[in-house]
Amino acid sequence: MPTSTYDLIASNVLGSSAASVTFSSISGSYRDLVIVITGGVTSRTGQYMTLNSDTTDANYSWVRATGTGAATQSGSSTADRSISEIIENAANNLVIIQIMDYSATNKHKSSLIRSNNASPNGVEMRALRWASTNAITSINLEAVGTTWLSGTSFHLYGIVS
Amino acid sequence: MPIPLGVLAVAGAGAAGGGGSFDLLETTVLGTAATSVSFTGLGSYSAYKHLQIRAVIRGNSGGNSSAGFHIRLNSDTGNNYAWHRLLGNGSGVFSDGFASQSDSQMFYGAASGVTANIFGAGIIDILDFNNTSKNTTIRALGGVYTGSDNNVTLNSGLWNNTAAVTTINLRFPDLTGIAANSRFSLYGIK
Repeated sequence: MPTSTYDLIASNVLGSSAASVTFSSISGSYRDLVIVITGGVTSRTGQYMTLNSDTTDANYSWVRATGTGAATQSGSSTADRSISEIIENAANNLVIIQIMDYSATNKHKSSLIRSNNASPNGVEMRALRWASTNAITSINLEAVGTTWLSGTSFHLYGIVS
Repeated sequence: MPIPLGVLAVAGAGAAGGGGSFDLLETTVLGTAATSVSFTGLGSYSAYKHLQIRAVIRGNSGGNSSAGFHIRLNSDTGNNYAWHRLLGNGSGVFSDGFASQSDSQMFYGAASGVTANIFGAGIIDILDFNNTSKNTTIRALGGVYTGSDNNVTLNSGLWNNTAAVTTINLRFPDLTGIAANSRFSLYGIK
């Protein structure tokens, strides 16, 4: 019997700029989580996703491919919480984060991240691994050293399986 | 209490009535390793327009770090598939394509040579799967970071056949199987 899913768990549309946004007390009721961010940051200094308040960078690794309109780039890191290289200090950014099997306790957590900046920085796809078997119960999205712009929206969805 | 937003998930699509517009159809979580995973009898899901598979995967044996994960439709083993790939591996961005293939690569999963809890992840969209006037097209986003072989990919696939898709088979063609705890969820989108 099909089960309707893709449920809104929580949302936060910033009424004023904020350094970070946190989704906490996330239940294990779903299989995957999807975060949709639309908006931008005050200055382009990077954005972190911190899971379960784990700020140990060495627990996060990622690989990315980026297209700028003029060139392609790829990079990787073994110790970095960054979710995108292209989120710009303007409001025309879109980021979709797919966190797979977020409550599984026998897997490191894999995230697939797609980000777009209409002008000037292009598109990016990223695979990020959090080297922990803990179920994810909180997610912090930080504009590193700066702030998310007022009006930036954060929506958290859950998908059952 | 979550607010159902299935309709917004496919905004613009025509609703077929009843329930949401993004529905879980089936899930397989491997209790033991398997050669492949199949979803069959998909003709019963004709109320849906598109299918999505969300997978978290690891190879059972063979391979060192990562391995390509492939899809085959309706048990067609002929050279009726084509696929293209955009891949970033940390050193560069690459693109290639293959015609007349016996299946279509979707993304990479972790192979058995890496730390036990590392899996790859991917999302496959099979568009207009029930339409008999179009060849079937597929797209997939996936990635894996094993430490020694890391990549993120965006793939497109073609099955050069207008038959409605009734069976999906998923496997690592270069490995002996799929590891326990790998997960495959099939969704229907109206």
